[in-house]
Amino acid sequence: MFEALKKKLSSWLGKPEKKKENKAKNEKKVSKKPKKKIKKAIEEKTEKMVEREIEEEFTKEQTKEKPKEEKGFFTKLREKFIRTKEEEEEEKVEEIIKEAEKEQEIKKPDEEKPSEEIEEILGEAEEEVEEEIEEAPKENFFSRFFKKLSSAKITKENFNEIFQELEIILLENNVAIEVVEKIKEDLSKSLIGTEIKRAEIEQKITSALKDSILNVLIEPESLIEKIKTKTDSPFVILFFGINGSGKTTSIAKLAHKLKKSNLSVVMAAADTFRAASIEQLQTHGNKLGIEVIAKEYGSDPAAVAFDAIQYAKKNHIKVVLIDTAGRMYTKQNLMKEMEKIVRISKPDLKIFVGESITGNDAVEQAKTFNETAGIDGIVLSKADVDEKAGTILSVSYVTKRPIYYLGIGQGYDDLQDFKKSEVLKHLGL
Amino acid sequence: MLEKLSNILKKTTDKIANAIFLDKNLVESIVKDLQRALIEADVNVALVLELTSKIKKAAFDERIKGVEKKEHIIKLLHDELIKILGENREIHLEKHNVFLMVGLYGSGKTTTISKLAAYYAKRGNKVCAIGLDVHRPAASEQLKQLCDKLNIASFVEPGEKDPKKIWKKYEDKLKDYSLVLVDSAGRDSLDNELIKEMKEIAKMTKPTETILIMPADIGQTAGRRIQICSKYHWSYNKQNGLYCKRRRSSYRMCRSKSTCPFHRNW
Repeated sequence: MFEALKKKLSSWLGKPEKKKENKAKNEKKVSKKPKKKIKKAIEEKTEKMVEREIEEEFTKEQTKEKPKEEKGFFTKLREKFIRTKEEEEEEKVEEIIKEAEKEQEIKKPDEEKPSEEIEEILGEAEEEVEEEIEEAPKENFFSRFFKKLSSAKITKENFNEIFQELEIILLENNVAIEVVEKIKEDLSKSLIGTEIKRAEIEQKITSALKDSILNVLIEPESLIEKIKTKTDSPFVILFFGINGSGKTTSIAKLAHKLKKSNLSVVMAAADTFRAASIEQLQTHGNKLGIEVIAKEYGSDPAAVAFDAIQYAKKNHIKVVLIDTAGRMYTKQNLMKEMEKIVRISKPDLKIFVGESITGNDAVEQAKTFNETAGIDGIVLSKADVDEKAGTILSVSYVTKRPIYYLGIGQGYDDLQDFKKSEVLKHLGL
Repeated sequence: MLEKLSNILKKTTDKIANAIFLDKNLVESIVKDLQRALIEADVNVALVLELTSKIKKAAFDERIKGVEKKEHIIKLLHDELIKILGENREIHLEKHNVFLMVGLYGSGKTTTISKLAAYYAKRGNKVCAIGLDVHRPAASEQLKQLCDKLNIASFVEPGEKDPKKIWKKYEDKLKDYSLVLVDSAGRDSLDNELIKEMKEIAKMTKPTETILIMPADIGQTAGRRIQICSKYHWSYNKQNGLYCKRRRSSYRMCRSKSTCPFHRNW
């Protein structure tokens, strides 16, 4: 989940890439073998990974200490290509190159030897550079920024330069423009004008970014606890969203979850438009052992919702989940129909079901549904196939409402509780 | 459809045309407006940057001057957008055609089948649909109900879990039709079992067209989806088509723009 964004963020921050994704794939292929072997393999892999991380940290510390030691000429030349540069070294190298070029131009046999030596030196340095470029992470702009200084004050220009790359990363990962601007504002407040040491820059920016994202996201309360506190009448949850977003599947998953927590549930098939929508919900109801209230196709969805609530009251059922037809927020008559359903069913919770893979349209969808029907909470489906994670930020920010669950598959158990800390973990922050 | 983006593009071209002098600030502001509009429309970020850098280059090109430069930039913008959108491609029907629908969950495969069925039936073709989605609850009922409304023949087997059996059962009857529309289950490349099933279905049905259905609001992920899909389907098909669903959501033209550069050969 969210691997693409995580990878981009960690390379921007200059962290070593962890090869967990490939390992996840390998583990899947291994699934046919007996479980004990898999456990051992996984343990070994995690041990190796831990060792590798320790080694990487060591090498990082060592390379950081190098600038303080006195170096020979060749080591200086090497470092020039690998890590942050100092002006003196640059000048020295430029001089060498100029001399080498001059000597080549003149082409006197007497002076061939020194030029050859210099070429050899440069050749060796290049080879070493190539090797180390393959091993070491890309020189990121933080190291470029601290070219000449050990600590720096971030000015507006510097900040814009820093933020430009981050902006592109966020936009490429489905974060809406409004949210990118909000993050930029937060980061500029905490970073511009402050004095930062070279050793701390990555950590400072990471924590500023983390804080900004935490501000955008909202931690949801426990839905199950909320339901349990209502004792006088059934707790009514209405689901809406655009076509194909995953409402029916999400309802089935939530019904399964509630049933596991010993709450009685009834589902209302208030999608009276789409072919076989009632049969679809009834199939889920049969599999889960949950009653489904339905009328004929073409009947008023508000009436179906009403009937389901009456049924729940009569039979002392705790929760009513109302499924509605998918509708485009641009269709005014359909949005008006939604207003009516809300008016008649008076739900305790109005849940917008969106797809995690949607781009900037998620913002428009969320805004319009919020204005028309009012959103109390969000469920984002198809999060397992989403590499980007941007929609989570966009939708949270625009509605200022919590995301209760992430849909992570087609099975009844594939409904994950939304936790801010988990999301940050998936992003590698 | 696409009104917001077209408004911004018009404003941009007007700005360029009405400018007395194309100085750096004006070009920067035009480029920024353009970038923002295109990214909001979910166009692939790399594409947007490529497009705007070409425009900047043309704007600062010393060889062209005056009115010609402005016209040149407007034409460049127009040509680049057309290049990105790709060519118009008609589907030519042969004697016996099989269209295989593939795509993610909820993208609109079954609904598209009913629309295509109506379209081709109106034009005098003998059309039928076969439901090979054995995973989604009531998928076969959905296909049957849609086809019955249109008086189109449909072949479904509710309760059957093996798509191969369904195909084998109706294979002979399908030969009577000039167009067979094959519905498949929604799937993602990360699910190995489903991908395996997809390959078997493709091998078995030998489609003349494999059509990937995607929601138009899918966002930056569009290009990747196409890459993954063509990786799995290329070897089994003579031709491939790309169909964009749900375009009516106001101003998204993301998918067509951001996916086309990966498949300019179509």
